[in-house]
Amino acid sequence: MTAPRTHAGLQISRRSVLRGGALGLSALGAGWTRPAHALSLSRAVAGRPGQTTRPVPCSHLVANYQPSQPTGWGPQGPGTLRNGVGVTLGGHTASISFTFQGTPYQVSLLRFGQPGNSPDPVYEAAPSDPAVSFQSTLEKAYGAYYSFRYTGGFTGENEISVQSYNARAIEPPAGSTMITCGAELYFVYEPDLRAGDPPISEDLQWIQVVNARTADGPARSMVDNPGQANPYYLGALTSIYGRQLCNFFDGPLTTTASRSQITLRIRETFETFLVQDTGIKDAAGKGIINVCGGIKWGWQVQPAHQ
Amino acid sequence: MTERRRKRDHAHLILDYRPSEPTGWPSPIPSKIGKTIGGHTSSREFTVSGKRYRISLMPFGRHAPDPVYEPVPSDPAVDFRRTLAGKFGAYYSFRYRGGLSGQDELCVQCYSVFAQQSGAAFGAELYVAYHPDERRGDPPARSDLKWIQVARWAGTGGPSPARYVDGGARANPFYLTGGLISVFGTQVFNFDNLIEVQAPPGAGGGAALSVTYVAEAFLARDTGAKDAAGKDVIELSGGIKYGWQLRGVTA
Repeated sequence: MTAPRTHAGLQISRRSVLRGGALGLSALGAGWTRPAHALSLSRAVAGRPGQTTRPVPCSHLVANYQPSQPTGWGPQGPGTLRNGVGVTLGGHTASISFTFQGTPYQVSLLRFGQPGNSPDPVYEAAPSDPAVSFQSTLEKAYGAYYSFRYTGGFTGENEISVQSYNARAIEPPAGSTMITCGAELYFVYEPDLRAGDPPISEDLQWIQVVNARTADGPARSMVDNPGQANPYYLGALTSIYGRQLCNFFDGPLTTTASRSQITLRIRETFETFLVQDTGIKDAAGKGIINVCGGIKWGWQVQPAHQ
Repeated sequence: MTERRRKRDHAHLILDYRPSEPTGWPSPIPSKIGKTIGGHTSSREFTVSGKRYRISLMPFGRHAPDPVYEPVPSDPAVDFRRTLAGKFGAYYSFRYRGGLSGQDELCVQCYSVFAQQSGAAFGAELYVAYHPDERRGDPPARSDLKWIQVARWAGTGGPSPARYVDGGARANPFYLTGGLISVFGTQVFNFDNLIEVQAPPGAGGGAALSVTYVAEAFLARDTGAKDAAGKDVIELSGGIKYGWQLRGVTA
């Protein structure tokens, strides 16, 4: 969490300053954000800020990459705040090459077995990644309070419209020796109501579990919620200039400081599932949460020769 | 001065100050569960750069500095309606219903200032739970019900403009850390505003720090319906006014 510094030297933070972005009051503080500067980079797969729609061999996920657009949520790092409103980066940039401490690296979206060099997120009817270990991680963190019911996936078609999915590498401030890498994902949930998908009028939430491996330690999985008394990722139902929708926006970024004998090897894998908070308790007094369909996505940094 | 008391302020607002409790919203410290600071601490004194300050809750002309129920926004300094319409009136049509229709709907469980004696940090928190009186027509605590807050920060270090819709840099006017949420398996409908100000040495640039923060927060139902102009209709019910101020203390 980065608190803004105002002109008077005060730093104002609040509970709603989240996920590397500035929300609420802090977003109004002048001069703390700076435009994203591209690294001296080469894009192995050209980013396409324009609209592209491409069928994905899956009946529930559509790759429908759009130009930068408002999300209904706050910014997710540099480049995602425009006219005071959180926006996507837009498009689909699968990889970016950069040099750090004289070594060429590449930050790229994870393929998950997909052919080619332009991977999309992958639909999942139920969490299945053994490294993420969604079910056991969630159960361990929140099983004392919630009963998770896995419904087996969506029942309709084309529910997940992926509109922005990008690898990111951000140039450090002048004089800094840090590198910031990550990814950005934005998609919209469009239920197939006739086929029985949960409508967006119900209390829908997202639960995301991430498995993170950094240069400094072993991989570990955790529920991606910043200290909440529930397992929800903050953000599902929202409104964009008068239009209600259910969407998801995330922009994980990892900053690494320059030092000797370091080789960047970072990998973050996410499983993100739509859930319904039923408001009903089971016989044990736990809140019942239905876990519907979801996606797997992620990014990695590694030396370019690998 | 911390106290626990439960009393009816009037027909719609209950003062039920409680110890620290989980809110369901994110924590400033991600490794810890987000909780209120708890209670009802109305003032604190502390020192920044050798100067003595007091942060205190606003009394709004009353004997005790509690939040105030409002059927419609009325504070001229906040200028809720005009500020909201100026920012979002092109996309949303705001309908003011004239207040809540039941009783005891707004339960204030934390309204406190805080300050480190070192002066490194100070601020305030308001936490309110909403319990609709649905039989009398209050809006149900569902996911389409949200909060809209307009605030005015006057003085040192505030945002620009001083009056603003506290919507979190989003393409809608809704307050982020409020609404229907779950706390350890139980759904609640609440509102939480925690503001913490870091004041490092030299804050204020040598001038005395001075802040007046006043906010009006209203329940707002996103109907999903469009008016004749194609704007999304939002119905505003009752709300609360609250605030705090920071002033120098003279010996």
